[in-house]
Amino acid sequence: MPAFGHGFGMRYDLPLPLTLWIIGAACVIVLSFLIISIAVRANATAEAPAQPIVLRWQIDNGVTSAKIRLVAQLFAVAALILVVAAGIIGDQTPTRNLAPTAIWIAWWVGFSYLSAFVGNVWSVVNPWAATFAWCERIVSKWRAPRSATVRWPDSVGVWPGIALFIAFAWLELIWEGRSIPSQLAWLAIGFSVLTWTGMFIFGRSTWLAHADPFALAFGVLSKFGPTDIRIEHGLPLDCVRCHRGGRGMLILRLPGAGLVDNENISPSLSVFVVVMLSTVTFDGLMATPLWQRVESALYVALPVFGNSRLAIINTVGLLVFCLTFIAVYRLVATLIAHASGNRMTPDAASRAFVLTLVPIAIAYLVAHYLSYFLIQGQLLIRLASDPFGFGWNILGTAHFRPDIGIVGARFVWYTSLVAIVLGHVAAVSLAHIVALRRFEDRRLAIRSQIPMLVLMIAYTMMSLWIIAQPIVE
Amino acid sequence: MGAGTRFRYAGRALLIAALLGTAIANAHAEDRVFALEIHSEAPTAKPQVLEVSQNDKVVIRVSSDKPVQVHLHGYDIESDVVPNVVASLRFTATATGRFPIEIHSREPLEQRPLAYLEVRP
Repeated sequence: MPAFGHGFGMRYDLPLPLTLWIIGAACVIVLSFLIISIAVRANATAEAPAQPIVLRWQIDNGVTSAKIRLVAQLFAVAALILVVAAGIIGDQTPTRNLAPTAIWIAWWVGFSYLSAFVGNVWSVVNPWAATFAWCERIVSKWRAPRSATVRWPDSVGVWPGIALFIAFAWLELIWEGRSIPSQLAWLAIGFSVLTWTGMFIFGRSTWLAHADPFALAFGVLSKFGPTDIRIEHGLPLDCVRCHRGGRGMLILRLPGAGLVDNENISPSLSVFVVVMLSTVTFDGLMATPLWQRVESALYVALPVFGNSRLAIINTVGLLVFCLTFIAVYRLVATLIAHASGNRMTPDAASRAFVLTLVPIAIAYLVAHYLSYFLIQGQLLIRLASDPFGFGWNILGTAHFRPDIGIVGARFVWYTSLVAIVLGHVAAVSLAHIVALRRFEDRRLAIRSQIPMLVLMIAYTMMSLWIIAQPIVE
Repeated sequence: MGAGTRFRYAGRALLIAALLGTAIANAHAEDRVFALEIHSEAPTAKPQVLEVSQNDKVVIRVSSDKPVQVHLHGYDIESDVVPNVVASLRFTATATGRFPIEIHSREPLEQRPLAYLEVRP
């Protein structure tokens, strides 16, 4: 990650050594061909596996689960208030203030991991949705509930969510104020106003499902996660629509099983997934020597922009990177459609397969952020005692010194390698399962997979290459 | 030689090898000294990479023609550097990783780090 103000947000990872890079690349290629050859030789009459649900738990939508949800939501709202307060009135040194660490590490990386490895926890604790729902309930006691929300036009899809997500990526990677507590606090306030207004106009669930970048992003990641909540008849419950009176069911499934459920992917949502993947990768790219050279060359060549040259160069880089990912994926979808003998349109292909790329992104999130999360996250121990930087010591941990050796370089290398290889294997297998479901002819299904396989190998190699680069500020 | 005896000898050999290995690894903990120069509050050239092994005892000597502050991130060691006096950062490189060494002067932006310290496992 590019350097934040005064030592906040730095990553101290050593580049992956060449030997391990070669082993990783070799594993990726060998395993890819192994999976394809198993698929080719498998029994021709075998059917595509049904969604592997491991366990079902009835959760009564009665008192107990509602109470737990309420407590969790109260915590989330309290945390939000504390973070905003710390940002505005606290010490403005990034490492002494709760806001930057809480937002970028505990919330953004933390909930990404929670979503990917546990489930859609954000949809339960989202403080903006929770406070809006509480207000709605209080108001409905006095007068009849509003029915006059503005309808969300179908053609708009999730494009506002895409725009907001790109804006968020810009704020995370390029914005100069991203480590300044007061700027973050005002950003949070602005986002609250935007969200509540949007919910007021269009309805809470509609806004969350189409325009809230975080509900969308964490939602996509949580499709990989092992848990999900369904209402009766096995219909997926978009938990933002958790209505009272229905019987909910918590299911446990194999990781990644949720990614083959692609009936409801709209064209714009498929673009959202690709944009999300591209911004995650661009984050890593920005810290490589190669990107530094591009920056320097453009810096020298464009004196007309003056002091904001770097910001402009990086912004253009981010947008070009997103567009390139979208274009490449579109090309692959077209190739899949061709390979299937045009039994599938490129549009349908892109929607059917886009989620199968998610495991590669999750693997990269692990490789790129795990040590960062474990090392910089230790700041939270100190900040819990002194969130405002006023010299308090509420819990006695105000002088805790983060241990930068908590995970060593070897642990990071091996974890990253295993994660990337496993993510790739998961992606290739899931794409194969999706293909089997869509095409009855097994050979056709496999042939349609070749473009996707090439894309996945390229994407995984890019991830491997990035973690083998020395980090440059 | 029975199988049991073989196992016992193999076990002892492994134990000795492990002990030797640890001893050798630790015995290789060296003293490393580096020198960095700062002119006009900026590094002299492209950032150097100072490579050391884990547990080495490191000394980084910094000289500058103007008063600046040098900060080794991660280990969080800071030092003021004044003209004509060589400042030393001394520490044992217990944690692995790649740590930037930055110059903090009055204008903070757009600076390349002075050097990177790479502690290899």
